[in-house]
Amino acid sequence: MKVLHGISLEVLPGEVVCIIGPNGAGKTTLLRTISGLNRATRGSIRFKGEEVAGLKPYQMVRRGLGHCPEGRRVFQLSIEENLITGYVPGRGKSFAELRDQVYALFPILGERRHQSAGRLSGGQQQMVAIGRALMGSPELLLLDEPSLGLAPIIIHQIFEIVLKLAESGVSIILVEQNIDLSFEVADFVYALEHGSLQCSGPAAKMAADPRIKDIYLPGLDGQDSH
Amino acid sequence: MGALILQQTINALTVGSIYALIALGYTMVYGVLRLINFAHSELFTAGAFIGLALAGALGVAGHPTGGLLVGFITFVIIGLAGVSVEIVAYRPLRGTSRLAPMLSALGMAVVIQNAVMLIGGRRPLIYPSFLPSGVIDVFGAIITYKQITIFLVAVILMVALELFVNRTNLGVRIRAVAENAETASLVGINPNMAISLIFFIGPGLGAVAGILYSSFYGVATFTMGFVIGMKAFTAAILGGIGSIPGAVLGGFLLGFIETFATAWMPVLTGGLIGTEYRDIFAFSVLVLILLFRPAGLLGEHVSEETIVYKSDF
Repeated sequence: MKVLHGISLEVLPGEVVCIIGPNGAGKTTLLRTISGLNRATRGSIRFKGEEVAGLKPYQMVRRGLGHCPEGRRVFQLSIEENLITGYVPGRGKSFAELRDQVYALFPILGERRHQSAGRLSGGQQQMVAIGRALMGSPELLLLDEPSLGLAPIIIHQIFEIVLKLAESGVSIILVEQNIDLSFEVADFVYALEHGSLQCSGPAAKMAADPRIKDIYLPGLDGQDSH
Repeated sequence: MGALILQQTINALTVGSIYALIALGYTMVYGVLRLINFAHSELFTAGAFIGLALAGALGVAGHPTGGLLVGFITFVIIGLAGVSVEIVAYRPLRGTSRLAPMLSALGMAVVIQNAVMLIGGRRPLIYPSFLPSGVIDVFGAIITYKQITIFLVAVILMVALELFVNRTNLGVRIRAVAENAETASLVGINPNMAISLIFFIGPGLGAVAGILYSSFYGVATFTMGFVIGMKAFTAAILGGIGSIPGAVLGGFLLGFIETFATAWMPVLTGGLIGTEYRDIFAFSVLVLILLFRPAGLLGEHVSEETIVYKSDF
């Protein structure tokens, strides 16, 4: 089934790009296509100047892509084992180095490193999912609704980390239904509806765009679940 | 009476060791692909035959130390055969229905069984034992060195597998793929690497079981995999298919059920049910477990979401 139609999107190093849109707009499909889980029927995907359409997800990860999937999907393994699954040898840093970095970002994970990730709270699972993606030293990080179902204070904490990552030069593509949040962190916003691009532009400019207010009133599709 | 029970316990542990080793192959493959590898029982047979051929070629028939070497080489050969089976018969069918790989597995079983028959012949072959001979008398029960060796080899292999799966990074990656191949790919693991490794280890263990089995009974036939394979499959279901500890538990439990039922049913029924009904107990267990606890003793309910035949990982 064809879900996305002629979407053009660009991310520069260290930039936070936010994709907004209602349920079923194709946001997750877009991320899955970039990762290689779904195949694009045409068009091209270029990463660091190279054509990457047709590569498998694990090959993308080895080239520097990180993907925190919708619903977090942590493994029913311990926290530390979850980090092991995300470690990609040969990308510069050693496992111990990266692991300690993740534990420095999320101290709670370090304290509970031997606990099963499946039993953690939603916020901690999101931290595991982000930490796991960071174990591959990504240059581009895809985040699929990291705020979904989390308490505001945890969301705030996670988005601070996201901004910190962006400052350190990681590019980020963020899919969010929470419009306020999106405009707060994004440099650039793309609005999707029914699989096509409705409008896009710098966050500040888009925030004032009446079309955004019309189509994506936060009250109508705020933080609902699936 | 005490000696009899002790004797049957020893016998149960011996046959249970073999069931458990084979059951591991079924359960590991099911764990990652949700597929019953029907070719597994034939790889068990092929393992026994390759062990026999190697014994002749290396001139080590009847030597326990030579048996170690033969076991190791056979493990590798059958392991590679298992990897090839997956690549040829199952991998091209990913993303199709769940029925297609199952039929392909049945076809593969027929192919391997016939290959063994064409090369090894139709008639039962006398099998040189690689196991040390000798007996110990413990309180009136006769324990042969063969039985002890089979049990020890099985336990060592199981402990090694357990350590590999739970204590190494590669093992962690395999468990991640087993849980969700798509997510595993998203975090940088090549699922095919893990799947190939599973198809190397599972049949490898089955091949060693084949050598142990034929060494114990002194005979190898090209059809011997069928019944014992079904029993090991029953053991895997009993323990909870997909669970490695489950396969070990199921294997030994089935060994006990079968041994004790076979020994005591003739007594209890006044000879109405004789020892020739041996096979009926294992398969009664299969029917009962499927009726009353399909997830097995240690198995968990598998959600359809985790089934891998979906996307392009």
